[in-house]
Amino acid sequence: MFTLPLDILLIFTAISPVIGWVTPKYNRSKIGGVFSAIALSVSGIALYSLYKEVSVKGAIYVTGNSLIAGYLKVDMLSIFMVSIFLGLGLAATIYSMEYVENSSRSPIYYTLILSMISGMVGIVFSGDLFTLYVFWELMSISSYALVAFFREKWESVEASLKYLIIGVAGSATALFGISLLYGLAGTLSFEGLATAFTGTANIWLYIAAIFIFVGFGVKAAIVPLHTWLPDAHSSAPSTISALLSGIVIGTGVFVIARTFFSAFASIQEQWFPVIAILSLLTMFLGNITALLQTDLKRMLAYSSIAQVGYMLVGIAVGTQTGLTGTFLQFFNHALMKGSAFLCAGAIIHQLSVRELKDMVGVGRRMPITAVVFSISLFALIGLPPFNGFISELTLVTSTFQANMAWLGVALILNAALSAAYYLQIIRVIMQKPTLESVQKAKETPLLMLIPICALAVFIVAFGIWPDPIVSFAQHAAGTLVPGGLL
Amino acid sequence: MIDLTGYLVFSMGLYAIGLYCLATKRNMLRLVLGIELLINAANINFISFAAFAMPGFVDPLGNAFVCISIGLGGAVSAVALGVIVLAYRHYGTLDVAELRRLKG
Amino acid sequence: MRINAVLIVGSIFTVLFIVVFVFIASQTPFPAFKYATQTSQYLNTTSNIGPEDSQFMWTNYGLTLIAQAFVLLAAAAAALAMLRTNDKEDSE
Repeated sequence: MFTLPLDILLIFTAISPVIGWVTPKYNRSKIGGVFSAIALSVSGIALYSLYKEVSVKGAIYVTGNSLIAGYLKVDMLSIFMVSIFLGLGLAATIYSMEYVENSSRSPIYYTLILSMISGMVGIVFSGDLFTLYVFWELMSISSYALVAFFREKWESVEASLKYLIIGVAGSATALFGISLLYGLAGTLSFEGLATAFTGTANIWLYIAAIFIFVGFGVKAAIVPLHTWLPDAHSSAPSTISALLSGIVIGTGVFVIARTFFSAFASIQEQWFPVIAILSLLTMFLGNITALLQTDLKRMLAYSSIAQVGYMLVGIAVGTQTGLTGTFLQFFNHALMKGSAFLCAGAIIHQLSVRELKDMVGVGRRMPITAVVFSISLFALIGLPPFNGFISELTLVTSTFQANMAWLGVALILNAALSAAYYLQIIRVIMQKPTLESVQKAKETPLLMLIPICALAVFIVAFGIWPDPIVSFAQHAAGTLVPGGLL
Repeated sequence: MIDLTGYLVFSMGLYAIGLYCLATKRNMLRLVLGIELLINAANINFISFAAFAMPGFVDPLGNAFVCISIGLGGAVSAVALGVIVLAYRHYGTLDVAELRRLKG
Repeated sequence: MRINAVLIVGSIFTVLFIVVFVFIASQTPFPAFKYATQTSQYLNTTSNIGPEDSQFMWTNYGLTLIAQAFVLLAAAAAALAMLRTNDKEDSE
């Protein structure tokens, strides 16, 4: 059928509602979590053997590589993305063993998380645009239902409705763009499109490019299509916020990179400046609006928009170094933002408040959580011993090498600007506790603490010793740029 | 025989009407209809291109896409209607303009 | 129906959209399949298209159809997650 990691994920997705029948009610959530963790780990082991095969052969095609068939293409970029999907998914699953209460609906929660992750794995594995669209819909439908999962709160339902309407409009726009591409070329495989359009610049190609960019840019939260993001990421359950902010946004950036570097490679001179200006806009709007927020999760959601702007800088530059910076930034952002949202969720779970001014001094009562939160916030600013510094350095270097120095300067400015609100969070949680509710807070439960600490260990480790990840990202980026080292 | 440009203008008109419906209508169920219009505009595009591949022939690739796309559109509508039922239970009205409590 | 500002602005934008598009389509007619390279799979309109079309879809796009089956499973799970009520609590 499909490749082995995707097979394992899909089969476990289909089996997981059975948990609801065979387990007693009092630990249904934990057994579901164990089941999902087993699924993700086994899939990770299968991914490692696939990695060995791809690094020898270059790219694997499942069921043939013809112009008129739907097929999967596994190359280094796919394996890079899937490794972070499975890692963050495993952390979120272990965290939600404690976070989601036992009810008759909790097996469905794990089913939806597994189907969302398998949709994302399918997106990066697909070799033609239509298979990508089908897996895109799989990921999107699972995420709409997951945002509305805690259905007793009105804010989750309202955020899910807004997210759904805007997200489906985006998918339909992307489908319209895909149909225009089909009309021009008669095929939808990425390699077929790349060879069909070499050297031509028809106006219909521009129109198709605009439709596809707008359609997939909605999910990637590019300004001005970002309006669903603050509501959805702040009102969803914390594990879902971590997954959405960390990896679902990056999937939108990945699809834009994949499409624009294969099908629209002939009109690159025109769309590089457009993406550069949009990335400037995204960075500045994300950072400046985050400065005005008082709710903790909303502030983190706006900073996700700014980080997407950083990722777009690498695409706007277009060289192999730039794309290395983009995918490295995606990898690091998934680790950092995932751990930040999980820590914020732990604090909100223990205190039951959401405003920043009600959390003064909580760090003194929950020391381990506060240390991990500080590590992830320092990494998000881009300070040296953590991994955010490496990816932002790569991006700035690539802009200087490609004569787009104004983008690099803007990125440094934005990193300095974002320090203002990240440091504000650290200052608030590290003061002396004065409120009654804060003084009675206890440390987070063990099952929520383990994934947070594991993510922090990875943040520090990849900051001190970045060489394996940077070379992995370089090989991954080399598959998009023609003539890059593979 | 209608030319390809006619079909293209028709599907683009459907797309524009779908966007207009999403932007201006206030009833939640009408938004779902607008989404279906958007998806069907793309489906008409696929089929009309498949028919004009070569005179006297039809390309089966476009028809295969449309078969799959119709199923996906149905699944999306089902989830959208589920969320609308939840929203109605919370707010008591089907008016989208009432959903303004989340600010900033 | 109530005539308010949003309706008028929306209608103007829609009509403008369609007019611009008709202009573009009449100036440079759509080069359908100009860049296509493979024509061996086309079906003759005089033959029986129905079974041949579905045979094409099953041989070439079987992977995508299995993926669509999983999408339907996910949609059913999503609808269950949102609308299921815990009326009969099984006590253990």
